Amino acid sequence: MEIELTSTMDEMEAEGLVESIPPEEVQASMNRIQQTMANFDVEFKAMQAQSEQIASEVYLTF
Amino acid sequence: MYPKMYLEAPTAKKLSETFFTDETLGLPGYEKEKWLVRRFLTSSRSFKRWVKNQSGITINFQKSILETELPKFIWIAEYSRSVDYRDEKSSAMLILDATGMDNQDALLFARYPDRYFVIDRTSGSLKLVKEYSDPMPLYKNNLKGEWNQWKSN
Repeated sequence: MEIELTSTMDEMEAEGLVESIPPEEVQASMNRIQQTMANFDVEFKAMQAQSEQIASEVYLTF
Repeated sequence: MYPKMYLEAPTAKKLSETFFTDETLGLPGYEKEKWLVRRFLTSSRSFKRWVKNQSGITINFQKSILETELPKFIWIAEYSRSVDYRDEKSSAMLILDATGMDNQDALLFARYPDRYFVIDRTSGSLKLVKEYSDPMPLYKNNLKGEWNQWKSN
């Protein structure tokens, strides 16, 4: 998805309302979020596998 | 469900929590208050139509959303303080791409009381717009109910 800078953004930049966050700060933030989501993915998949295991056990019981 | 909806609800929830609490992209001092959170999926078309008709959203934020090409479906997370929630308002709003990757690239907008973030994907840079905003009205557009006189057959 392309997000283009708009005339509104240009106007706000001219008014001094817009700041660019230092790239290293953004990168550090993105790395933190990426790590959190990677951990979540592992936990979520483990939880899904456990649910499927329980569901198959319930099915076998019946 | 739209076939290109890659960001599932549990991941969207975790992502919005992670952004909201991040030291750069989140709301500073968020932990000092209790937040009521609404998360939902909507189409960008409905959302833009709602934004266009809202007087409780700042002009700059309104124009930023309306002038940005958004994916077909988006996840929205609204954060309200209890007093604002009773008035059907929110203090913060995160908008995520529901059709994109289930990672940090999903963030489209983050609106807080004194600023908002927009990601400029063309340059890859993160823009911070310094702007105060009163609590915004809660989005009601995609839920049918008494508020819009909707009746079932």
